[in-house]
Amino acid sequence: MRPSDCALLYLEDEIIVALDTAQTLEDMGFAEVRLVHNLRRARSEAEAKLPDCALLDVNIAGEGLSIEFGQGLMARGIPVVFASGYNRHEMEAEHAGLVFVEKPLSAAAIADAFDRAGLAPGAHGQGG
Amino acid sequence: MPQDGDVTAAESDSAAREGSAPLIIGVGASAGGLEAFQTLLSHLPERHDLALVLVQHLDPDHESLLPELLSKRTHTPVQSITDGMEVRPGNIYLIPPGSSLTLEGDRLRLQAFDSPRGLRRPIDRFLVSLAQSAGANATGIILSGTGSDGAVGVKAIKEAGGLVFVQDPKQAKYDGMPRSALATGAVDLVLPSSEMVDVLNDYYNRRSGIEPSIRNDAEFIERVAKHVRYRTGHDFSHYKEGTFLRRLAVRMSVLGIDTPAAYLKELIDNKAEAGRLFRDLLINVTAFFRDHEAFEALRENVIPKIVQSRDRDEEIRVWVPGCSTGQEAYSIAMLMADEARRVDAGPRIAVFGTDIDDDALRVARRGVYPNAIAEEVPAEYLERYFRPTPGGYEVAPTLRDIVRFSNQSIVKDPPFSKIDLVSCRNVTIYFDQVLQDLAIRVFHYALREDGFLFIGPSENPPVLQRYFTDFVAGARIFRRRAGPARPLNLPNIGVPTITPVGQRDAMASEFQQRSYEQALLDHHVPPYIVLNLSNEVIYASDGAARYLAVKPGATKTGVLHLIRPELEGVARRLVNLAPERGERSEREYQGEIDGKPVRLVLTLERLEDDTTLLVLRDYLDLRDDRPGHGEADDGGITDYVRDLEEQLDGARQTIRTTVEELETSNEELKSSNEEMMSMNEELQSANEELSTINEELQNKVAELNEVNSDLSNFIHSTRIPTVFLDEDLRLRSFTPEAQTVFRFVEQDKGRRIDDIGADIDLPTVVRLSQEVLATGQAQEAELQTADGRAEMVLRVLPYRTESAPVAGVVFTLTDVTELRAGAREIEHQRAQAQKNLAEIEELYRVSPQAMALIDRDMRFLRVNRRMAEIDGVSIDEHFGRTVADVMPRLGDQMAPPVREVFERGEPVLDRRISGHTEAHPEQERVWEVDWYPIMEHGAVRAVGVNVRDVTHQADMSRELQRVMKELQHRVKNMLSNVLALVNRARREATTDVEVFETLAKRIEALANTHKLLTTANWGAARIRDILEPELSAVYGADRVRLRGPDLLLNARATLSVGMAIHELATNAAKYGAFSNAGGTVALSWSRLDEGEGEIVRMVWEEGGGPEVSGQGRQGFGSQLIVSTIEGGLEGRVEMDWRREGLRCTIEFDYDLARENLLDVSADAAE
Repeated sequence: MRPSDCALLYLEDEIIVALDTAQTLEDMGFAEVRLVHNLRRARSEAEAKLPDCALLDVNIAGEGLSIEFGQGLMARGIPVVFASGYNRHEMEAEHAGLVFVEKPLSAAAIADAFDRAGLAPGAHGQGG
Repeated sequence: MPQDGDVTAAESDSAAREGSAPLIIGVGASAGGLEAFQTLLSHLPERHDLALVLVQHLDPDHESLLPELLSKRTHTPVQSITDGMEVRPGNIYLIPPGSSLTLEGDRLRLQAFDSPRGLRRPIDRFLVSLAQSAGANATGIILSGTGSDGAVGVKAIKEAGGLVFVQDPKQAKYDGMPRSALATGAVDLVLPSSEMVDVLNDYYNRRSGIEPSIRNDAEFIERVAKHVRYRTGHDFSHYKEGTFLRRLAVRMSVLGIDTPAAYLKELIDNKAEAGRLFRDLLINVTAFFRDHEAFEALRENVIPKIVQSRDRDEEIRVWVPGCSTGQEAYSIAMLMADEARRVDAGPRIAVFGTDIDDDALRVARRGVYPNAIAEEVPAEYLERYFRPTPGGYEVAPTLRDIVRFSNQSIVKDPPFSKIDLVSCRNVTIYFDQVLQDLAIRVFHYALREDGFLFIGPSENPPVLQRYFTDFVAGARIFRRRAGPARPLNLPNIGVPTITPVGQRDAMASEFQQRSYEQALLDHHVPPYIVLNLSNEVIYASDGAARYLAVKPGATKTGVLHLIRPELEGVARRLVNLAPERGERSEREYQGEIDGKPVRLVLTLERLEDDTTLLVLRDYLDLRDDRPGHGEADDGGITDYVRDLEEQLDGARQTIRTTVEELETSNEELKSSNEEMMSMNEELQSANEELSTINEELQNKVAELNEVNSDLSNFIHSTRIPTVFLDEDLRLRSFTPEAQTVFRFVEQDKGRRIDDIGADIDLPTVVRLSQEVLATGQAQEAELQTADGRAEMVLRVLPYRTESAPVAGVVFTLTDVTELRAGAREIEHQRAQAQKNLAEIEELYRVSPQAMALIDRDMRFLRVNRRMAEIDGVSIDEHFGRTVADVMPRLGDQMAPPVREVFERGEPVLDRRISGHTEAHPEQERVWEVDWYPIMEHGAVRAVGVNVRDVTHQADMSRELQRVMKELQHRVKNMLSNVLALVNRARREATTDVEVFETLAKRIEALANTHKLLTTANWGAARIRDILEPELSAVYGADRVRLRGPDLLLNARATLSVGMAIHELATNAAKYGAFSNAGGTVALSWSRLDEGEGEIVRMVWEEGGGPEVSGQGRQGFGSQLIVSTIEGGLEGRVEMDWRREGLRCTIEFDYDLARENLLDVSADAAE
């Protein structure tokens, strides 16, 4: 699957970062960016319509970690990238099998992460 | 000592008691006695009638264990003696310690000793009292022991008719006492102690049967006496029968012989038996001054009389017949010698001791007596006339020279003569009446007129009073009655008087006294001749000359030789018929003299002065008036015959007298011969002694030579300065080494020590030497040599010789300089070590580090308080326990490094271990531990352990990491927000889009660098990791060439370098090498040192970009580069705007770029 065909679920509780990143994701060529700001919405959004891929901020203020939710999506075969201010290597060492991208996000880093998460490369190349 | 006469009393007494009285056996022993006692007693039958009294030398200060030890060996009751205890058959009695034991009747008496320790003779004392009390029922047994106690006692027992056994010296542990007893000759049997009891029982059984059987067998006794006479030459047939029988019975019992016939057979078969019996018969107890009172009387009343009656050059002669072992003879000799010494001008003294017992004489001649004589001889005599020897006392030469011993029988051999004193005590008591009388006559014969006789109290033969008068009655001293000695079996005739030749002239001169007498004699009296007793002419008157004629040949003065031959016959008859004193006899001669007829009347008159007057008168004219004239012819012949007969009678008389004289002198010669024999004996033994002494001396000389040579070698080899001084501190001798300290030479010997120079403090040497001389105590002092370079120890010791306790001093000098220095050094080291140890101990005690010392077996050698706290076990409980034992949960981590240190000898440092201990079982602790070797002699002796508890630091470090991570997270979120806002603004901007673009890129670059650093916890980053994301990743690897060593930079340098390179790249993208299609950038860096410390130099070189025209712009980018490097990193930046492109050189201090650098090699390597 290519990003241009993807409906992406983007969970980010920081509004400003969420808006900018959503723009970046759209610039990267994702067909649909469904932005949610909390886990509850993310769950319901995912219930309503399963996305093709997901970018989830790990620490959601007031609700805790999005890891479990992300793993649920992954269990359904959906590529998931977790965003975190923590050191990417540490996080990946701590949570084996998950793909992390370190904040602040850039198009290149996001593309690289989705590559590692199993999304076909190249589709979002012009966004960098 | 028993009194004289007790012996006989005891014998008769005991004879009466025999059979009913208990048989008392006195057993004496000393060293080695216990074993002998035990053997003896273990052979006692269960029931018996013997009473054994054991006398042992016991330590008076200790209770004896003897009763207990002995009662284990026998069924017979063992009694410890108390005073007054009655002796009963079938018992064993033991002497208690510290007491003297005697037997009085049948009771045992205890007394305190009256002689000092060492001189006590309890065995002698008891045996003597036993002999007195029990007589023939007494038995003495001498067992193992040293010394001679018991020797006197066994003799007393033997004398009383008892029995004496001695332990075989070969079996005895110590043979001194058995041998001493044997030497007395009073021993019946020598046996091993185990056989004694059996022999004893056998003996008593037999003896009770023998005595009655032989008592009335006169023939048997006579035959025995005859045989003894045959073997020994001594006749005992006149000895007292009782004594003889008793001794005989003992011999038979000892030999196990029951019948007289068997004993006779033994006597005949066994030559030695006669000798044995002879010895037994002669047994005689003798002692010095035996019966002191009698000797005292002798000393007071007799000795001075004899001594004073003699001049210095005369001789006193004393005879001691039956002297046995010599004590009596020596006693009298001492009294005589002492008196002679007292009057200062004593005559010579000769004491003749005679006996028939050669063995006893041998003892007497040796003159060596046991210590016991100290009780008998007064101390002053002992000191004057005896010399101490190891075993007792020896008669001193002064006394020995006085006394002569010889073998002589009183009753058989001719006696001595001209004796002043005969002392014969307790000899004749064994004689019967006949012999006793003979002995008295012999003494009378031997003594001078007024000589003295000293005899024993029980010797009182009836004839005594006939020959002797009482002198001191109580003391049995008698004086010879005056008068010639009765011939014994030889005539005793007075010595003929021979006038010495010298007296003749004196007699002749008497006849020429007065002139008228002379005239009368010369002219008016008939011729006369004066003769002496030998009928020699001592004077002839004028007229007598014609009747005298000198005959040819040797002139003799006898009248019969000088008178004319014609008158010789008449004169001979006259002379031979010598008239009594005052009487006259006449003879007539008729014949011719010189051819003239003469008629001579010869008158012979014996005068008062024993001279004889021969008067010749010429009666030619009176011829017919003479009576007997008519018988002239016939009568002449008859007369002549008668004269001849008378002459014959005279000759016979002369011969008899001569024979008697000869016999007398023969007797004298015999006596003298005896004396000579005595003296010869003496000389021979003296000779033997001298040879012995000579031999000894030769050995001594050889020994001395050897010792001398040893000593001389020692003196020459010793390295110790040694000096010998005499009493006056004169140099006697010195070792060669002494010359290093003293300046003496061999010639200085004999000079005073303080006259001779020395390198040491001489006054001290002299002072100490004098102290040693005064006190006899060794002295010691330390000296320094004059130059103060050496320290010496001076030791002064007394020089002792046998004669003087301190005859000088010996001193040695020992150089102790090095020793003292060494000692001081050691002391210093020791103090230092002590101090170090104390410091270490204190360090151990107060150190916040836990410390321990562990040995090869993993045992704790030492721990401090902190260590104990960590382990939760007290300090003391650590010692000797192993690591695994004390800290079971950490042992696995602790032990391997210990082994490693022991194996490799190198420390293991800073290793962390963690786990639980007894002190904190609930919490895991973390420690940092050092293990280091404690070396000793190149090997690891132990392993020291330092333990630091870093649990808290570890916790802190973890917490810090957590906080840092959180902070990074927040910083990144913040950067995300800022970047998002800038992006938002850029997206919405219609103008200045580029500005936003640049801003966003800068923030991104900053964020990237930041990310890089957070990876390493803000510690460090690799330079290549900083550069690549900014350059190669953005502009393509084909346009960027990076070259330089792998360097690690700290956070500050990383941020600065990252920012500078971003600006350079941004600038190149806008105006430089990255702004067209073909431009390239070469970035190289290196570490170098140009003399101001190490620096890092980075060179940025652009090429292939648009041509640069003139000076580049000083935009914000350039400012940022300069301020971040020069301001932030204290470095330098140089921009060179060349035509082909910008060249920028950045330099900064290498050390500054590495401050607080953390090792990120592990993480950053990815």
